[in-house]
Amino acid sequence: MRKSTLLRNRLQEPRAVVAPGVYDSLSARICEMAGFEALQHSGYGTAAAVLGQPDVGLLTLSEMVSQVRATARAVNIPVVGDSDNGFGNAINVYRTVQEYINAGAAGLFLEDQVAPKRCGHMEGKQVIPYEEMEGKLRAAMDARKDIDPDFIIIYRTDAIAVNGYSDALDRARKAAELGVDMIFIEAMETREQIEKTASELKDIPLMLNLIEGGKTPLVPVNEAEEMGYKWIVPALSSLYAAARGMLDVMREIKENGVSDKYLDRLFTFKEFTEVVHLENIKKLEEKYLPTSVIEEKYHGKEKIVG
Amino acid sequence: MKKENTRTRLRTLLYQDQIVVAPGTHDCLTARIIEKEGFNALYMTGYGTSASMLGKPDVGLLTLTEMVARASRLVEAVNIPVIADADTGYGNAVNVARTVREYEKAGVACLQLEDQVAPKKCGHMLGREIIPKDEMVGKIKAACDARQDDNLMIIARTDARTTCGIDEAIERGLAYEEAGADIIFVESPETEEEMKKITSIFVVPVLANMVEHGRTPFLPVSKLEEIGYNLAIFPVTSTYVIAKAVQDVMATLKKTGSTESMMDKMVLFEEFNNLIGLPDILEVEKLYSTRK
Repeated sequence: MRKSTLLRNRLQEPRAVVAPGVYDSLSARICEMAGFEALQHSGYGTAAAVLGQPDVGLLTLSEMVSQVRATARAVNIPVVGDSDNGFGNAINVYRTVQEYINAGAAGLFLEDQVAPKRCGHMEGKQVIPYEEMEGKLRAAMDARKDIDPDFIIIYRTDAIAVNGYSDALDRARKAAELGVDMIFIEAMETREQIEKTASELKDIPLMLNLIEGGKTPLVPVNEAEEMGYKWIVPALSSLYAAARGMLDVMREIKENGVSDKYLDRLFTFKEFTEVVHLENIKKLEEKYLPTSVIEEKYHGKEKIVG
Repeated sequence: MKKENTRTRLRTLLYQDQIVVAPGTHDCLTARIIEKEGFNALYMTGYGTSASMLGKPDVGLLTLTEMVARASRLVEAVNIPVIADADTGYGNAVNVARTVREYEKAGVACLQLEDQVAPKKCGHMLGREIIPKDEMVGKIKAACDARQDDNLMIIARTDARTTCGIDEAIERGLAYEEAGADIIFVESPETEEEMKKITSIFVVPVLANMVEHGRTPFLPVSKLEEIGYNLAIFPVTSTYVIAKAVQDVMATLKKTGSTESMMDKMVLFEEFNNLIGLPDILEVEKLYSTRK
């Protein structure tokens, strides 16, 4: 079954989906290992991982698609892509949606910021008129029609910081009426806004973006689910955990050299084989390499590691 | 053969009396043909690249990544300076800084930025919109500051002529020159008089864009030189001629089931191998062969 169909079906079930943000194949694999049933690709994380730059609209469609492909390929669960503002106008959106589908995404979210965009929790955002955004959403829905009709289109509005909450809610209502699959009001500022969004938009799946240190209060997952949120995204937890873990251990090594003092903060060599599915390689070798080559390689050892 | 520094070469050429002619190309094969025919610069066309990479019109669908990838291959394929179309710079002044770095790393001698809004359109299409002058001035400054090699030249193109008239276009050109642009490209002047006005006003070299059936008088190179242009590009010539030739041969194959009648319109096997540098490869094989 296509991942888009899988996700579309799953979104019809009552329980919420917690989809952690991921930014490359490794982070995607680790979140899958942790037991999550879907993932949200993060542009913020991609800008950091691919360019070492902030999320201010520097990434190209090509770079984002290549990272979406990398994450989707690495796991067996649906991945929803972050497609920023669609990288241009409605015509560009048409191409963007088809590129994301071909990259293996199960859906994408598309925001109403001007180009170049920036992270939803930064200052200095600007949005395009809803009328123009509606054209982009229509282009997105048409673009998937013939190649992947189940592909999920999420409308993200960044309007709160620019025009206030009621404009954001108004835009969300119009997009819901237009027929998008999910609504994402970005950077809600209070618990009241989070609750109001849920109670005003009852008939459409809702996304909640939870960023540690961001503008939105960190509502616990079970409470968000109870309010009615369907796609709950801890967008940057994997990125920040990786960055923190790496920096701490690297500082330790810079200061005191390589030792066994920080082993509790590392994967072991053996554990890591599971992250990258090393044993699959052994299985393929057994299936396709001549027995003599396998004997010469392994001298009777059963595993590549351990 | 070691590559020469094509950036200083282009700069030197542009400050000599003779006009530099840079035919347009969208791929490496065409680039090699242009070089072989003796041109001393070439122009990477976004219009042709969009057709070649995407099979789509030039309406701002190509990404920075795709354009740079193509530019990088062109630079590898030839030893003459590559002047590359960089559209609007793919965003605002912050994006332009990245764009310049990426093109610079790709090895181009010169890149061209225009003052259209994103997504852009071909300069001879209607429906183009332009950004405010001071915003473009900021982008030109960002471009000049971002380059690591001061010999990398920046072309500032203004699309103002069609919607705002020649005076506004020239005023913008002057502002971009002041901001540090190395070459000024006033897109689509509509008369010879306008062209003369353009060549008489700027200190830096000026570019003439010769598009067959475009909005600008289509003049021979000698006439452009006489008017005072320093650089002439023929951006779509090769793309159009290829499209026509392939269309003709495919129509014939479909209709008659053979290409026999078209053979005199084709390059021969040996000629083609020479064109794309097979003799060079054989040389290299000999040079590094370990066989006694």
